[in-house]
Amino acid sequence: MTSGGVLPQGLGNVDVLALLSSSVISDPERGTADLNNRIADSYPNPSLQYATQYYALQPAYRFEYWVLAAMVRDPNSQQWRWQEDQFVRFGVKARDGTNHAAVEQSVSAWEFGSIVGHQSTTYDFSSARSETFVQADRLALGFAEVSENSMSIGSTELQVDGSGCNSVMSIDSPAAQHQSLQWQVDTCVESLLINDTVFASNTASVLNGVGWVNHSYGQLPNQAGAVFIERSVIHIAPDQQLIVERSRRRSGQGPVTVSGFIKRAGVEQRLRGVQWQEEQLPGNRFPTMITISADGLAEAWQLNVPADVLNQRAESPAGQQHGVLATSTAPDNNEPRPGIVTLYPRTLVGS
Amino acid sequence: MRLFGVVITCLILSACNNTDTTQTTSGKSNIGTSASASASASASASLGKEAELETSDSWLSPLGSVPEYSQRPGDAQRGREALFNESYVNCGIPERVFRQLQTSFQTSNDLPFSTNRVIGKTGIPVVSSNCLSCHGTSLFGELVIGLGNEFADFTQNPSALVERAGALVQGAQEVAEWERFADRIAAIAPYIQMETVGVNPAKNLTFALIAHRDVDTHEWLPEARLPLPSTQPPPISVPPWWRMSKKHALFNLAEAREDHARMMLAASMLCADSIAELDNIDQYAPDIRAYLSSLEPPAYPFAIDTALADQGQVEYERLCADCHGSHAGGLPYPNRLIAIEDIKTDPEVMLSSTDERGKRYADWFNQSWFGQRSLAAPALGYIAPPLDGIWATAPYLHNGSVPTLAALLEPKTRPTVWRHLVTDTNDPESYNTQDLGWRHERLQAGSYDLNDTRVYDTNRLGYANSGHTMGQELSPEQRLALLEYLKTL
Repeated sequence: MTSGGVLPQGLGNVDVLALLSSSVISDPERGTADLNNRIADSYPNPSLQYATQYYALQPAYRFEYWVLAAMVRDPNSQQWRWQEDQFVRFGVKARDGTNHAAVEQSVSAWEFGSIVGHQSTTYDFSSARSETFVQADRLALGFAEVSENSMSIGSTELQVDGSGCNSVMSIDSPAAQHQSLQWQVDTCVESLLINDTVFASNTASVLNGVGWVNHSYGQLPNQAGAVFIERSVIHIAPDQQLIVERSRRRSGQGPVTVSGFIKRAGVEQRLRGVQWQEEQLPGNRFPTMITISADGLAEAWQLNVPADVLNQRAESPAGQQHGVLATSTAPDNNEPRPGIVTLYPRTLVGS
Repeated sequence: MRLFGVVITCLILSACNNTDTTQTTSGKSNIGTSASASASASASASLGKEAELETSDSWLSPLGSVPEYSQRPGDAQRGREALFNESYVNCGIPERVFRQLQTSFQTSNDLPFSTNRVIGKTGIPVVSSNCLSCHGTSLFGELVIGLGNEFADFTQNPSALVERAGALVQGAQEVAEWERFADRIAAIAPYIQMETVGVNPAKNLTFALIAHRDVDTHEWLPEARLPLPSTQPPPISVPPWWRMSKKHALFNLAEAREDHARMMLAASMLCADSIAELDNIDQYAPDIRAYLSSLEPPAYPFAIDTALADQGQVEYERLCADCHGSHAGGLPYPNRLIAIEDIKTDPEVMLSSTDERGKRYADWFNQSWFGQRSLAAPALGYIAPPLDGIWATAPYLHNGSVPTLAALLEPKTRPTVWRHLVTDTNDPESYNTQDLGWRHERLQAGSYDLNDTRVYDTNRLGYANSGHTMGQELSPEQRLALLEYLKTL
């Protein structure tokens, strides 16, 4: 790490990872330690680095994104063994009061905190099944949208603080009555601390774990298209994925189309009669249940969004839009799977 | 790139067949018209826009011989150029988006042969499908213009494909071009999705477009004014263009009569929004018709046992020539419409054109700009087509239900459920030179994956492989000889 806020150039636009080691886990519970080892195995050299342009002007690279991922566990329930990867992509613009002049001159394409795509993956180690929910424009190619109404997940913020070790980054969702997410990168200890508190039915579940952050940048993407595409990837078996896409026009006119396919060992097979059905309770801002099914597919997957969990009501604090937790109902036993949650930031589709 | 290439130009299937070289400048005069057909044609041609047909079937064409109609002259060379360059389908995907998708899918930078680059109504270039989406196939390394694409995939929701492209459009012009195209595809999409790869929804597509067009102005109507066709489109195997020089009427029911060039402009119904636009396209339509009529079938590329073929010619002249015409100086192609009671092939295509809805579509056609020169008048039967280049046109029957000529000539061997095995028509190994058809496998009914769109299940509505039992009484030796002869056509 280079102190002083300006990092050396020369790494190009390769994704640069900030990664923590497994040593930061607060509770070395055995199962969690196993998970940490898996991370360590995947990243044998966990050193914390930032993208080279992080504090610099970005004349050639006006597109930035950040990827946050974590392994977490719930100490209140030993049954929870899951991984949550949360990918949040947004442009960076220095906040007022930041000491870094270079940051203030950033020519990032987006306003601070604007979300340009989202992917949430949960993984259930007990069943080796996972669900991924992706919302993105640009044919889900990973490019951002530029919209008049910048998107955000709650009041998610990126804070850049030049004091001390020069980098403390946190994302804090102020929907405290429901959820508090705090991610911190402390460059002094080269670690990313995860504190995620989920409130369900007025009961707090504190999740702790380890994580990493990925910061990348590139050329300015195209302007936004006329269509939103939502993409759901459901891992229905170790080598099988159900991938469903739904398109909607920004204008609100035209058809809503749904298509999907099964991917088995890398081979895709289109599905007939793919359905994406939503139910929404009166007064709620988001669907309370999403059902994905297809002809000839024995399974029908349901993403449940309980009204009492998160921010379903319009009267959210300060008019902020927040994420929604969804529980997935397993088709094999028709029982809600404990601990499987999918962050479903409806705000990404420009509501 | 398959994104929308297969979406719209199946309607060009409407441009299948045509008459030969007898051409006059009169679009309405008949030559060699039989008495009954002439009466039908005259009666229909005289209909005013508000006229009502008196009886339930007086609007239908009679069975038997189809009369020859004079055609407007055209320049075949200019027609070829128009086929690949003119904007007879002038809506599509903005070119920039199309090429971006090409890059994404790592395809060639060149536009596919099945597309034309045209200028859209906003002045920017768009990529539209041309006739070859359905009427061109790359066969053993060479593009065969006019060979029906028996592997075109109409099983997907075309609207979903076009909507996805909308995620890439930028700016008012691109959005306008894309929306114009996407809105229309969305309107017709429910009526053109097939059960099986290879079969074509051309008839339903034309019907759905008619339902959305004003009969007087040809204006696009967001809300259909006529009843829409079934959401189970009857399957059609695309006939080859090179037979047009022999045919007096277009389509399986020989319903497209009189001026064939104008009839072919049904291909423009997706995008042409005024009579003026249609008139412009009509200026070069006779050239395209002349070019299509000049095409010849591809020669059989594998070995032929000429001695055996000579034996087969005897069987052909005895068994086939009465309906399909002689290729040995005997009876010329007779243009015979065979009653459904006699041929007994699947009736759905015929029924969809001759039922009450079909009549309303024909009425619309005959009362519209199209009817000023051409006539839509189906019959209660199917035309027996010429068999030129039949080796290349598998699968067989009007609905593509029989995978090989051998199975066609021995009905008891026709598979009830079969699956395409071919993914590359350029690979000679994909072709079965013994049975004459593309390689396939038999499946057990009810035991296959319903999501497998390469499966042809003859139990589905419109997909039956019944009828045309000629050949079942041939000895194995006679059948082998006949198959050998068919390679030479």
